[in-house]
Amino acid sequence: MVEQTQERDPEQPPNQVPRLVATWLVVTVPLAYGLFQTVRSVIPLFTG
Amino acid sequence: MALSFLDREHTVARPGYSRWLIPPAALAIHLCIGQAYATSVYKSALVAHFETSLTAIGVIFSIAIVMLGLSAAVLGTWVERAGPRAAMFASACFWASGFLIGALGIATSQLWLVYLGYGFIGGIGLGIGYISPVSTLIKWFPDRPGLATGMAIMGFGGGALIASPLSRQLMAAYDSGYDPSDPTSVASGGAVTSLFVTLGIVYFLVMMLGVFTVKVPPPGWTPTGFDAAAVAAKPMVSTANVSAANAIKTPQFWFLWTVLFCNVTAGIGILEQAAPMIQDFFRVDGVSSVAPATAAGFVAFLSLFNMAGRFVWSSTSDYIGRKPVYVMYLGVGMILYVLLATVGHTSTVIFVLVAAVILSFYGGGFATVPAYLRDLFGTFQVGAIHGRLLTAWSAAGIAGPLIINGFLDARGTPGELVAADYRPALFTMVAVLAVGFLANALVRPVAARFHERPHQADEFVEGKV
Repeated sequence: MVEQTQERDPEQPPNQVPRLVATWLVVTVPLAYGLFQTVRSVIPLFTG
Repeated sequence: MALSFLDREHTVARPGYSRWLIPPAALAIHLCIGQAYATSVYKSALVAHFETSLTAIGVIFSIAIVMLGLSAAVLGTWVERAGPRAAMFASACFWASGFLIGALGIATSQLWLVYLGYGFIGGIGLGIGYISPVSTLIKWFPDRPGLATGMAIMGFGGGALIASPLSRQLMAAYDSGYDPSDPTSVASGGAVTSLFVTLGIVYFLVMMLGVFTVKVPPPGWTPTGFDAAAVAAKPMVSTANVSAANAIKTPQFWFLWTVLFCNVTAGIGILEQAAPMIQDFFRVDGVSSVAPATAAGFVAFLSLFNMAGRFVWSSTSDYIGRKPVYVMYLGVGMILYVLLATVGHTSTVIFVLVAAVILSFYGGGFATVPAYLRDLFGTFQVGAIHGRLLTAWSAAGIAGPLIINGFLDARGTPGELVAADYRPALFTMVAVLAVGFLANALVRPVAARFHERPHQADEFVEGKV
């Protein structure tokens, strides 16, 4: 996931995987909640 | 300076910074400002609280959308110069204060304060927030700009999906007399006040995730394996840069403005009347075979396709090109509108699927346009150019409802009509799409006289120009 064509800085940042996971979770969990609630409200379209 | 961390120079990524941290930073902004499309949840509560008309409450949303277009157009150059972090921070401050001032207006029964707060101040937050991550995403993803901006702008659609059920649940928590499952139940003004305060605080905190995560790539950075020459060799992709001031002098900008205006106007034609429309299309002898709950399900189904289209079609444009994807939105869109008008009433399956694909093109049109701008005008001030282009959205927000409501009002009241009553409006939308199709066909690469000289972009960021 880390793209870089220039030479690496000696003070390279630490492993970013935890930050990536945490950041993506903050946005995907609410989005999943919204999608779930929307899909629930779509159901009558196919059952009604 | 306490706020110096917002400066562009403090947001340059150190080597090794993952570019995959940028899309969630952008999503943190767009998921919050996407709430603007969930205002219908508390409309009836505000009508009852202020003892006013639905139109007077609808003005709140109208002011916000007009301010979105105006602030994106006017402040776009500042957003480019100040950088994404400062822009996102400003957006969070405006958006959150809009909610808090709006809450004060509801609590004190001063509707003008809601206009000022949520509409005017919040609307500025919408405009700055909408364009704040676009330029940065395009710079981090030169190989997949459609994918990157599609993810962010999908968030704007997703924000409404989150805010609608969340607002209902929060109002139920603040008002025990409110039943979110009962469409006739109305929450108290106090519950909406508390909702506004809660949303203002929560959105500010989530947007801070974007503020503290976003970074711009160091000068000269490119992703591993990226071949700029190969990208530039594609038809309709330029390596030259055009300033926002020059962009609006080019015919390409106004062709794209027309394309966006027509695509949005046509989509709003369906969105505006989705629930009564499906009931009217299947009405025989005054009785519709589509129940209100089914119609509500249809509206939710459309919102899913609107959101998915933003990501799927924008990402697809990275492979098939921006101009061809708009040929699809507008050309296939015309065919689908004709189908809807002529055979839509024969089957609910046909009606639902055709409308859903039309709405996916509507969303796709929003999400693909930043990458189209990048292809034509370069990355130099693409955010500012995008901001100016969003005035097409504001204009379509007025034109779309005017067209559809104008035709339908002449026939009767939506919810009591039949399929044939919609045909004039739908065929008008076909003509609107045809105008957009023609404008897209006329788009050619920008003339060299509008290009900036080399290093102009660096001097702009450094404040020398």
